[in-house]
Amino acid sequence: MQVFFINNHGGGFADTMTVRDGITVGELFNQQMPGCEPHDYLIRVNRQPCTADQVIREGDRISITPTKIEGARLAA
Amino acid sequence: MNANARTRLLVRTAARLHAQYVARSKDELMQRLEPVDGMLCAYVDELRRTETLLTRAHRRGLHLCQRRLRQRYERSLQGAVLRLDQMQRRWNEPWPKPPTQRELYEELVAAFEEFGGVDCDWHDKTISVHTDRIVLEGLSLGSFRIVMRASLIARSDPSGWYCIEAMEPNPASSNEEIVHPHVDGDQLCAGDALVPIGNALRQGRLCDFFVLVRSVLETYNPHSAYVELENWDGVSCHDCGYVVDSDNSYYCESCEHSFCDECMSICEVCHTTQCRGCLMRSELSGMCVCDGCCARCSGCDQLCTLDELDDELCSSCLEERDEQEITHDDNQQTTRKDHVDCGQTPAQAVPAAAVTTAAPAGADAVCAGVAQTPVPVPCR
Repeated sequence: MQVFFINNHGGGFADTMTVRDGITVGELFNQQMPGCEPHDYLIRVNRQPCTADQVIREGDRISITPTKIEGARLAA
Repeated sequence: MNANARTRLLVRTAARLHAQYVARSKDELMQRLEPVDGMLCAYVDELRRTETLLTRAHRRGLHLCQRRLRQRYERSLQGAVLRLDQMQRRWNEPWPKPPTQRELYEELVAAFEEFGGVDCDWHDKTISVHTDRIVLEGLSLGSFRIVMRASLIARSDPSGWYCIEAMEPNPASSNEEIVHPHVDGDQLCAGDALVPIGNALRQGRLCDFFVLVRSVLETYNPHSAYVELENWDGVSCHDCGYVVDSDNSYYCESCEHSFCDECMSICEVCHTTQCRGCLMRSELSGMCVCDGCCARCSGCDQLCTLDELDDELCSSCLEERDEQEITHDDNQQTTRKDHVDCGQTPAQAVPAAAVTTAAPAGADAVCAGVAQTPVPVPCR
C-alpha cells in the first residue's frame, strides 16, 4: 500500500512510498531509521501522536522529526 | 478564543498562505524558462556562423581553414548539447506543487496542538508559535517565539522566511545580541536542520518547520556556538575579544575596561596593574611603566622612567649640558688669565701713548699688552 512518508532527519525527504499491509509505526521506523532510537524523534501519523504498535493504513501521512538537532554559528 | 473563532482564523490564514504559495509556484515556472534565450541561443548563432564559413572554405578548397572551422563547429555543438541537457534536467526536477489550502489548514491545526497555540497576524503577515522555556546545561534562556514571515514566501529563499524572538532574553554578557548559543540577533543558524527546514517551508509543512526550529533551540552544540555556555556570563577582553569567566578577568583603572590575563601587565616601577595598551615603554631601558612613572626628556623628548631623568633630562642630555657648561667656564677662565699676565686688570689698562692724547669721547680703554701703542684716530 502507498503511504506518504516524511523524514525530517538529514536531507528531509517527503515522498510516497510502498509499504506492506499491516505494518506498524514501530516497524516502519525501524525499517527507515536503522540504529536510531524512537525517543529521539517526534513521530506523527496524520499529524497526530501515535503509538509504536499503531497499524498504518493506506494513504496515511507519517512524519519523523528529530527532537535534537545541532545548530551552528555562521562563519564571520 | 472559542473553537469556532479559532477555526475561522486558521481557515482565513490558510487561504492567505495558499495565495502566497501559488504566487511562488508561478515564479518557479518563470525561473525555469528564463535561461532558454541566453546561452543556448548564443551556441545556435555560433553554429550558424561556423556553418556558413565552413561551406565557403569547402568551396574554395581551404583545407587548413576547414579543419579549424570543423573544430570550432564541434565545440559549439558540444556546448549546445550540454546546455540542452542542463535545461532538461532542471525541467525534469519535481515541480513545486503548492500545498492546498486544506493541507495548510491542517498544518496550522497541528502546530496549534503541538505548541498550545498559533498567533496569526495578517497585518504583519506573520504566523508564530511560542516554545516553552529553553534550558541548556542548567542555563535558562527563556522562551522563544518562532516567527514565520508569510510575506516572503513568494519571493525569497526559505532560509529568510523566519526569525526568532527571545521572549525573556538572557543574552551572553559579552554580546547582548546573542540570546541563544545558535541565535545572533533574530537569526537562527540552523546547522544540521538547514535543509529539512527549507524543505518543510517550501512544501508548506508548517508544523514540521516549527518543530524543527524548536529542536535546534533545544539542542546545544558546543563546537559551533556564537558564545559557549561556559562563557555565557563571562567577560569579553577589550583587547583581544577572548571571553573569560568574570572571576578571571582584570580591570584596567586607566582606561576602565576589562581584559584577560594575557592582555594585562604591571608597571615595573610602581607595580600597579594596567592593560598593555595603557602601559608605556621607556625608550632608554625598555621598561614597561604606567604614565605616572614616566616623563619625556625636555632635551631630546625621549620617553623615560622618572628614575632615568635628572632635572628633567636624560643621562645623554644631562651630560651634554654639563659639557657645555664646562666649556663655557673654560672660556671665561681663559679670558681672565690673559688679563692677569699683563699685570693689570682690564679696568686699569691704559696705553702709554694714549696718555698724551685724550681718548675720544665714548672710547673704551684697552690693555694692548706688548703691542705698539696705536696712534689714536679720531672717530668720524
